[in-house]
Amino acid sequence: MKNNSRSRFKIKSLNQEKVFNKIVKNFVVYNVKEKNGITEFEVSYRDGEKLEKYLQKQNVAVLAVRHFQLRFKKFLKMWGIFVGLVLGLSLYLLQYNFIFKIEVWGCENIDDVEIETFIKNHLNSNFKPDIDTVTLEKLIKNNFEKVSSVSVAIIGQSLVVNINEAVLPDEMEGNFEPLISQYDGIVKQINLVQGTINIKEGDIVKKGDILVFPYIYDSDGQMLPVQPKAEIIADIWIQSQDVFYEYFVKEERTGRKKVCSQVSLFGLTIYSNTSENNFETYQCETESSFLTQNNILPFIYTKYIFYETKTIEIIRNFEEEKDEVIKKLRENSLISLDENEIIIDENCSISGGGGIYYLSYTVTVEKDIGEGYGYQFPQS
Amino acid sequence: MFNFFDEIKNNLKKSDFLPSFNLINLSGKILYVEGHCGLTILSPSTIAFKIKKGRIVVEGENLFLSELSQNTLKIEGNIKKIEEF
Repeated sequence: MKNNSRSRFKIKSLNQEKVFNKIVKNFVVYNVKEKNGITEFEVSYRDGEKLEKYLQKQNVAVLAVRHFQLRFKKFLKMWGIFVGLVLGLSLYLLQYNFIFKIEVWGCENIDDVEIETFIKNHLNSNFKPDIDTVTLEKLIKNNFEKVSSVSVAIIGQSLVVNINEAVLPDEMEGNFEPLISQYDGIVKQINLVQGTINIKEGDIVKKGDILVFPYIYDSDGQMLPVQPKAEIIADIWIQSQDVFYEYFVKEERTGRKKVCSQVSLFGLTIYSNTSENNFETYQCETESSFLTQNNILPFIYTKYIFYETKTIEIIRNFEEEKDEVIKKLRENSLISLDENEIIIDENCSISGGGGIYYLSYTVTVEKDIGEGYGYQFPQS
Repeated sequence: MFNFFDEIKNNLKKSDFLPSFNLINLSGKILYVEGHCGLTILSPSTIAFKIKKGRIVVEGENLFLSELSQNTLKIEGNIKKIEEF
């Protein structure tokens, strides 16, 4: 029997020849061996179970039955799993030849998304053998100035781009905008680090004045852009101003109000609820909203609220309220100061007359108006 | 399909004396039989089976039936004697 899948029987019978003559009418038997009245034989695995039942019906004493079947053959019968595995393996092998992800490593100042998009645009296909990593490396290096070195490698199903960023010298780094004063004040001391200074000690600067230009001239007279850096110590003035009127008129609401409403569609008034407004002086507030949520018929509901007002005359004495006004001005000035700033001087000037007074409160502090560009001066 | 035995019978044109069974003895180790009508004895020293007009007894050592179907069988072992009765 060529096929190794078989069932082996061991039987005992008084007339075994007769039994075999009956069996062979329906089955083919193999390797029939008789020993001491016990006969062993084999049939194909397919017939094994049928023969077992047949022998039971014939009242033959079956001493042992063993079914042999190749595991692989059993496995082959599970067609669903087998086909699934074959298909899965085929798909895996197929898709393994493509890259699905681009990873960009080592980006701190460069936008990794920009590099990823650049690579996507320059990839002819995602098929691994078609990807030329050396060409990609050259393209990235040539198109991104900030890239010092780059390596492109295919790892698994990812295209890994490893970037080393170029480190620019401090004087070349940053934006080349002039250093501008944020305060009004008088310059006391200048320590220029880089750039071209536009002021000198003793100059009065106003907010918005250029302190240091963002360039230098080399020995050949060529202008080189640099980030302006300087320590500029100045007495800066922080001012608060106010005008005091001894007599003025103020309009105030009495608390009485009148509400009117109207509904309109495309500018045409559909409904109006207005009553006569008897207020001599009033302020009017208006609120509008759509009456419905849909925009098919945009009914607009408008509400008018009239507040009655009255005019009040205020008469004040400057001398009586002067201290209070100056105190408020001082508070306003101090709010603008940074923490731990030392006040050098403060004064209040009053001008005007005839019931109108102009007050100006000035706080003088010493400050480095060139700071804020990240330069740290060494501690002396 | 070509049948060796049928071909010989057709060439002789004397089918009346030809028996209804065929035996092939291969070097005394294998005996192939066509046209048996049932086993009568099965033991390691003797295997006997019926044919249409008689009986055939095969004697030897370590005999066993390597294949048995309704009208064919194959005996393997040391075949010493084949007798027709």
